[in-house]
Amino acid sequence: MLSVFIMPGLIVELTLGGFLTVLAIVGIVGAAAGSFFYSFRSQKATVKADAVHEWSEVASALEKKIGLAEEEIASLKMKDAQCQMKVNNITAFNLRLQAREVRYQRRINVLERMAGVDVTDFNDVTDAPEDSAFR
Amino acid sequence: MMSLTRPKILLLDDDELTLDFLKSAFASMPFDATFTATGIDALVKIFEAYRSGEPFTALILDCALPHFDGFTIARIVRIAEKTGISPRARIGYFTAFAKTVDQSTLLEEVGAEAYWHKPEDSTNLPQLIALWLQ
Repeated sequence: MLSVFIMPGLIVELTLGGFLTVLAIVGIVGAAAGSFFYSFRSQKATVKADAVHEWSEVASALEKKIGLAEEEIASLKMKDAQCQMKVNNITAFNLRLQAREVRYQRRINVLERMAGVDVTDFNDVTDAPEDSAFR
Repeated sequence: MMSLTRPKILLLDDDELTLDFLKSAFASMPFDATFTATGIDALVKIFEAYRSGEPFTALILDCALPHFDGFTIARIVRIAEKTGISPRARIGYFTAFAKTVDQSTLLEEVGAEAYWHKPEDSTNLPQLIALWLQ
């Protein structure tokens, strides 16, 4: 007979066969729990690795997308600068034409006065004749 | 000792009346002002000033001129400055075509710092320029 100490105040007396049976049961239960814990842990690690892999794929796809968008922005900025340069050249050209127009208008007014005909008011666009009275 | 050097400025306007007004308005101002009526003449004066070693501190240009407009002159000046011929001149515009100019980025392109409206700012132009040059 073997006396097995379980906890203070609880001592169970077992035969050797009974003790070995209990030991075997405890061993089987422990092994089952260990195996369950191990498989749970490795499954968790696999899921985590899969998620990381998936996210890194998403991240690299996004990175490529951002790279393409940045290239597009750079190309658009260049096109915008070219357009702006054209607008500036047209504006400068327009200013030269307006200056010439004003000069012609003044010259026309001088000639109108010399010829004694009505002087055209080029600022009055509402009643302006199609062209000057001066011929 | 304080420097008694007066800022050397060039004023360009193709309108005779405006130019006469500017001449009389600037007579009492502390500027060494040069007046000119055409873009070509302005360029000649600017390059003569480079050659004499006394370039203009500031250029006050008319935008709308029949041949060399104020912006073409400024572009030429900026190219010349890049060669190191003179320090960067300050450029301002006195224009009746503010609306047209605002539709572009010409002011930024030539590095202009200011522009005044014609005729609204005519009376105060010398004072405004003096403030700008301070």
